[in-house]
Amino acid sequence: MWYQRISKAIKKAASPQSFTRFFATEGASPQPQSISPRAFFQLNRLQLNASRFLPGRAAGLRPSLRRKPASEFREHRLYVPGDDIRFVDWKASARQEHIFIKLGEQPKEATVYILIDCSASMGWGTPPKSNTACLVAMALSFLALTHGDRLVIVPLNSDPPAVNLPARQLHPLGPLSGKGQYPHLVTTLNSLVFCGQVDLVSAVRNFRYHQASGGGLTILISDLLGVQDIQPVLEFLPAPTWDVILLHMLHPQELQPNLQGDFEMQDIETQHTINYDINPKNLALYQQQLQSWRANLEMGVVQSNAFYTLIPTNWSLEHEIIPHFRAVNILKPL
Amino acid sequence: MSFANPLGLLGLLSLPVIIALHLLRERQTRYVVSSLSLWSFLEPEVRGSRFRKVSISLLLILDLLAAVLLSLALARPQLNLNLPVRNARHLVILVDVSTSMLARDVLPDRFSQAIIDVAAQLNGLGPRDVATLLTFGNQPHWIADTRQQGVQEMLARLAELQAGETGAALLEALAMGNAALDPALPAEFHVFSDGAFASLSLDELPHPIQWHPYGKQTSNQAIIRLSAETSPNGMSQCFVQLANFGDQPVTRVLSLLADGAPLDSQAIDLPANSVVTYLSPPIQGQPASLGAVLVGGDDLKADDSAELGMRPTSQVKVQLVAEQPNPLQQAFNAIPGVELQVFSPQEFTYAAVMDMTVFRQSWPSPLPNGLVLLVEPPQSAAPLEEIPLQVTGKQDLAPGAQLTQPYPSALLDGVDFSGVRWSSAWKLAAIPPDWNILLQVDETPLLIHGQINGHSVLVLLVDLSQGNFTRHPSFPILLGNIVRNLQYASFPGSIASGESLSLPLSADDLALTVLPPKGNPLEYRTSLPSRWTQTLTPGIYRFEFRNRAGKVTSHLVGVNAGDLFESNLAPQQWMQAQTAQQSSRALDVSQVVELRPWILALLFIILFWEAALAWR
Repeated sequence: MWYQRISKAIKKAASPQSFTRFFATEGASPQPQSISPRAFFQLNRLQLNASRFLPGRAAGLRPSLRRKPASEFREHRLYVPGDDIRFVDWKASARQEHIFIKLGEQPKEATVYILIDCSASMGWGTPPKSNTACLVAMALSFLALTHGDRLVIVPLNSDPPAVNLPARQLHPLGPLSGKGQYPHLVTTLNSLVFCGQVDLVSAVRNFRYHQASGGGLTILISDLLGVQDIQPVLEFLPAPTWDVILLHMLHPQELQPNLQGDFEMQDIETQHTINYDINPKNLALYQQQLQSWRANLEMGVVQSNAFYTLIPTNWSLEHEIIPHFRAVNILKPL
Repeated sequence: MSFANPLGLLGLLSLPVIIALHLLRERQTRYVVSSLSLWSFLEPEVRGSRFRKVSISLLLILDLLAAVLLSLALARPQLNLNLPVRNARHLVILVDVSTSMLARDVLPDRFSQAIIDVAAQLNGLGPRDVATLLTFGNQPHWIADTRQQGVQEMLARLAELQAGETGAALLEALAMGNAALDPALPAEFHVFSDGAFASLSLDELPHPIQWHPYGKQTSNQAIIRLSAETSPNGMSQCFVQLANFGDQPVTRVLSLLADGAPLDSQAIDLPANSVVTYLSPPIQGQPASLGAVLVGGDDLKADDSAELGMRPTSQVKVQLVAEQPNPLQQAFNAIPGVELQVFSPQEFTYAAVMDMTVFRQSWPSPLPNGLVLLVEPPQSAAPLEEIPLQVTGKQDLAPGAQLTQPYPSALLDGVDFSGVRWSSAWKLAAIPPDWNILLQVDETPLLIHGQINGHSVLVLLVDLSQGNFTRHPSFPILLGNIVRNLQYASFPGSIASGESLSLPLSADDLALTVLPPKGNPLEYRTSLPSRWTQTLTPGIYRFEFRNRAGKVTSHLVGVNAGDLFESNLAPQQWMQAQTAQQSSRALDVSQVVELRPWILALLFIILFWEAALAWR
């Protein structure tokens, strides 16, 4: 009967299970997880494809444009007083009227920044988008640590930060070097709390001016919800000092909602509600608008000399994400 | 459709409550999204309204339907079917048989048209219909009923109906029809009449009436009253009332007839819608009947003439048998037309023909002819065993005791006993059960009346020797009434057509011959009728009584059709108003169907459906 149905619906809505389910995505930490052995096997043969123009102070394994007099020839330059005469290319100097010094390549390290959007929307979905984000961050962090790069994990929190955030989430993790840091990194990523509303522009600006020590490879993992124009975000990370990769994490339910009917939709971040009548016509319109939004984002990223790619959160790391990273040259073989 | 309990419709107020509950129920199923910004891309017009739009679901429809049906069931709707119930109805058909229905303003006349219409109604009866046919005029008459006769027999009886009565006993006819109703069938009352009677109060009737009016605007003049007075010198004077019911003044010639012979003729001017009185010059002699005729023609001939039978002025023979004849003798001598003979009980001899014999303080033996009046019967036993009277003594009457008339009688008409000081009365051992007490003081009878072997006997028990009764005017008036009401003296001079005439018979009457104005004389020898009802034809009726002695007494009675209401042929406004309401009232005749059982059945079906949906 109608009143029984209504009372049943009210009881159902007020039941502890539904209460837990309703707030499960708000401020919840992802389940502890790690990269599978198969993914490790794939990653061992890959490396991050970073720009040569990235600044690097210490010597490392990453090729760079920095030259020094060396026996391995890359190019010549004119001799200036004070140069070690051991590196003079006598044969070339004999053919020319000038004295040339042989220059060789000096490998260096790169700083990899992994910026993770810790807003509540990243914790939305079943399983939440944060799971995939953390896995991707682990994989890329493993590659950075493996190849001698300096790694900094930057959680992008709401401003001011939520009271339930752990203390270590308030500050960036790193810089880390060496594979020995990987377990600590995994623990940190698994303890991230996704809650609140993150203003990406202010968060990136805060990162740029207060947390970053210089340029580097910046991997921004976010669902970019609420961001209509990405250029204000990326203008704080100009190329070539900053090589930015934008990983757009979207849940399949966001890409293709399976809804029908009249719904009172509630924003998980702002708790605002709006009534929508979802019908096939509106769903088609939603798809058009979603594609347009993504195209605008991608266009803005390209105009900022950054790189954009979409990662549906239902992709598995070893089967879809790593092959996709190889296909779009985020990763390259050793 | 109407509602027996309109307050039940307040239940419809539950509809918005149900809708609100559905909205509340749907609000519980909110959907949490990662960001409303994704959905804000939708065009504004595809957004839901601020107030949630009610989604039309089967459950909501069933809920609303159940609430509506429950409210309707509480309101008890009744469906008034506009179509008459053709399968089962009881038609009460009342036909006006008054004189006005004989008017020829429509062809052939109003009554013939009504008969045709009634026949059409009877021919249109359904197989389960019931019809009762009644007529009303001076009196209501039950004619036929389909429960007792077939339709063909009813049509035959309908064809035998005759109009000509004066009066409209419609209420009595309606009461008869109402009493004859079949309670299992819806009733329809159909009145076929021209409405030529006074307006009736029909609002309280249990069933509405469908009127079938007849006639149109027409001019009619009538003699509505004819009377005569005879002066002590033997001269008579005729008094005629004429009425003009037309809208135009007319002049009609009035002819007076005496015993059928022309007496006088006078042109009378009759203004429009007026009543004119005409007083004739003195008439010489003593005619047996007087007549008045309006010369010329109009649409109703029956009321253009009137007849009046003159009362007989013959002497009434009275014998007084008493030792002390006074004060009875003085009183009878004061009554005109009384031929009194006084005897002592020893000298009394029975005469062959006598109208009245008075015995004071003596018993008759045997009973004489005519009326017998016993005054102060003696305490001795009656010589005749058939006289069931036994006087036990005197009883004093208290002054101021209440005087009552237990049985109404014409003998006491106009007799005023106020001021009479009753002293005592003779007390009887018992009053025969078939005798009537005409006058009594408290429980003591003073005047009783009964029959002994066919002889009419009056007993006056008042002690005349005491009190002031014999010196009071009521004493000769009472004796005068007794004389005037003797035997044939109660014949009226005229009656209205259709009115029955009471025939005062006595044991001496052996034969009666009635001569109507038209047709052959009717003679009765074995069983004489006590009432004469065949008075439809206006004119002078002659009643001839022949007694055992061969004496023939003739009485003339005029039967007149003219009447103040009956002769007014103009369509009556009250009847037009009733006819105008006929269409709306006809709806009331229709069958009322109670819809609540059907609604409740539908409600239970919907509730079961909802239960199946809820627990599926």
